[in-house]
Amino acid sequence: MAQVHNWHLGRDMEYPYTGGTYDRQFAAVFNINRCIACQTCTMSCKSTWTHSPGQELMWWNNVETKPYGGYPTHWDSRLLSMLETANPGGQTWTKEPGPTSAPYGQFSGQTIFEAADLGQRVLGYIPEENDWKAPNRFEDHATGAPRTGASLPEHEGWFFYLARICNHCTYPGCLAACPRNAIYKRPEDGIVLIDQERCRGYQKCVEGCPYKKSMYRPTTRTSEKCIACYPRIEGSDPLTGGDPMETRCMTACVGKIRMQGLVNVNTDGTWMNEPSHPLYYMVHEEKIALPLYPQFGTQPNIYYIPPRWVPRQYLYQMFGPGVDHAIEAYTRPSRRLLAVLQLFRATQKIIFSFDVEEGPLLSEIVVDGAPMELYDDTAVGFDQNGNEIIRVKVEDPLIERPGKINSL
Amino acid sequence: MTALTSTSPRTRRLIAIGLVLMLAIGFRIFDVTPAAAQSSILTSWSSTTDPGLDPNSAVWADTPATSVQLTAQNVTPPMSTGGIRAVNVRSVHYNNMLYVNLQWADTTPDMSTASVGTFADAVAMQFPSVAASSVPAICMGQADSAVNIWQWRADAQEGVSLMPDRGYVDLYQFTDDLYYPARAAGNIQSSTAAVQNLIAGGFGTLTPLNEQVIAGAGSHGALGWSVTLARPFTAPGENQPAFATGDMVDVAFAVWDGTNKDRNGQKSVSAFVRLEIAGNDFAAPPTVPASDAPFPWDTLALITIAVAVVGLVLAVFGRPSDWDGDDQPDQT
Ligand code: SF4
Ligand code: SF4
Ligand code: SF4
Repeated sequence: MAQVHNWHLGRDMEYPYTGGTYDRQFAAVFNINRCIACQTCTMSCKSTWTHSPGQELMWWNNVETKPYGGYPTHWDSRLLSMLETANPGGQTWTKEPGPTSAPYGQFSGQTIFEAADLGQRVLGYIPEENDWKAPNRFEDHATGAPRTGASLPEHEGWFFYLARICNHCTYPGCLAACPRNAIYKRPEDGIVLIDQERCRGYQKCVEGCPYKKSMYRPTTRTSEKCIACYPRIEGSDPLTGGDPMETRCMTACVGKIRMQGLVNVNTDGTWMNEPSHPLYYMVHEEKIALPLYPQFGTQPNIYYIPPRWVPRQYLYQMFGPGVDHAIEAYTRPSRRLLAVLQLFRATQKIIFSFDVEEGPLLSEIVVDGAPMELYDDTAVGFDQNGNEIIRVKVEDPLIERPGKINSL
Repeated sequence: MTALTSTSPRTRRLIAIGLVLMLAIGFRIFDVTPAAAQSSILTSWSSTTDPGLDPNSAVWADTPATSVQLTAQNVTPPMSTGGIRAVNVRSVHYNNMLYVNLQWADTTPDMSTASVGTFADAVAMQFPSVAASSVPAICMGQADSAVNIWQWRADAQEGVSLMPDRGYVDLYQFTDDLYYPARAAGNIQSSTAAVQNLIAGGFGTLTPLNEQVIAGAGSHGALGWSVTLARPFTAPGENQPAFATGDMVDVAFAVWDGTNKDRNGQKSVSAFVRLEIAGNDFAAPPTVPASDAPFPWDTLALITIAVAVVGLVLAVFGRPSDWDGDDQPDQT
């Protein structure tokens, strides 16, 4: 096993390969507070990539209702309990938050690589066929009915929607588990793919992916997974004229919860300092978006703005120690952050950098008992060549339609 | 007095002797010679009849078998927890075609990989790709010394269902190969070839050869699998051993048990053993009609030795003090 740096954990960890051979990383921020579980993302992926025989149970994108829902059934609690069994009482975080290489402090427990059984590379399990058959079981199930009405910071009865795709992890569990190097991480964008020519259906990736995003297809006897819509990332969709384009599930998002991009990374997997990159800005400057189950150790690349109304203990387990800060910073956003949040789903093209043009004071509001000023700033998004591709204001423009616009 | 623990010492001794005898007779009946691990030599007999691919061909009933021991693969992850202990190997050649029949005990056939987490029973033979003075690494060969692998898989023999029964679907709009990427990429994994001809030069390098020339078929019976693999003496491409009468080739075996979730390196493997391709002037394998069997002198010898060994063990370690089991000192 090699030693690699995992900045989510704030420390080095064991991994079968050295990694760090790529320049850009596919990443995204999902704002859980906004997801309405419409499943438009789910259907956009299904109708594009997984509609043929043998793919019936495959949902590369899925949206599950937490805490009870899970596709496949109880995927996360099962692995959490396996890790707890492997390292009883030891799955904890220590130290105070540090620099970019350790923004959430340090995880002192064991990752899926470190807790692997003797003779195995990764700790994992293969969900059974039935576990994949009810992707939206427990939809809208709350933990209980509130007796006194709901109010922040913690609702008495709660649930939230967790939209998930493959995390195109920096240290993929699927890749580590494959004994024949049939899984690879593309150097140009960090997208993790299963080579359909080399796969021999061992399902070690199904076993080794902690997020259960590698799936078995019986009609080809190989495993398939989310391909990050790579033709769009490469810019081969005619709609954007050669410019990198966000994926199907991102662009289809009705709740405007998603922003996806490509971030520049250093050889140790940390992100290059790019304060004007919207994803870098949200993940590293404002720290409002957090990795999903960072303790698994794969350094996943979908970041979540945690739901504000959910008990903190549950959120710490799911997103690590950065939760308090993230919710605070999101609830009372800075002027700049509020502008950047407007860029979600404003364009299909991938935004590589942004700028904020200041606008007039809109109103003064009260958030959590303290006053806050709202400005009608304008967020401007640029493509990889610095060309402007989108411009959005904090306040939606009010457009009055003339009484008679056409013959109707 | 049904439980073994409550039987008298005398009964236990009789049971032990009985077991030894049964083992000896069993070996004789099934015509199995226990292999002495690595040094064992398998023989491919010259046959006057074509055994064909039928694993139950009469030729095999008349061909002596060698039991090759298998152990859990525990050299590289993912490692095996073990399972199949031995494979019985029989071989003949007919008309410049090498036939190998492999039998192993497995009462739970796994012939379908139609749902996630299911794995098929399989068996493989591994030869050094080119004859050399030293054999390649037993585990998948090495970069400068490749191995040629013939693998038979139960699920491939069963065939791949294009429309698995996984729920109700109104309509599949796209069903040509493009929508089966592995098939479109020509992955042999997605084909219906029951036997694959493969090459490997180290862990994780297993790759199908262009020449898919290994024929084979398997059949499951009450006790386990019987699988026949066959290839002409002359290999059509590179990196595959050529055979000729009088040759000695190295060969190793691997068996996967789907019930045990065996696949990839999670398998039971043998060491390299030597396979002698007997010349055509060798006597044909002993054909023994049941009614006309010669007196089994070898069995008698085995029984005699077994009885002697048991007697010796008893004499040294278990001086019989209570032969009649009545918990009283015996009358002498
Ligand atoms: S499309 Fe967006 S809002 Fe709708 S379920 Fe998916 S992530 Fe949530
Ligand atoms: S989420 Fe799973 S399938 Fe995707 S890269 Fe990570 S380990 Fe692999
Ligand atoms: S990125 Fe593309 S392939 Fe992956 S889940 Fe989204 S739509 Fe599906």
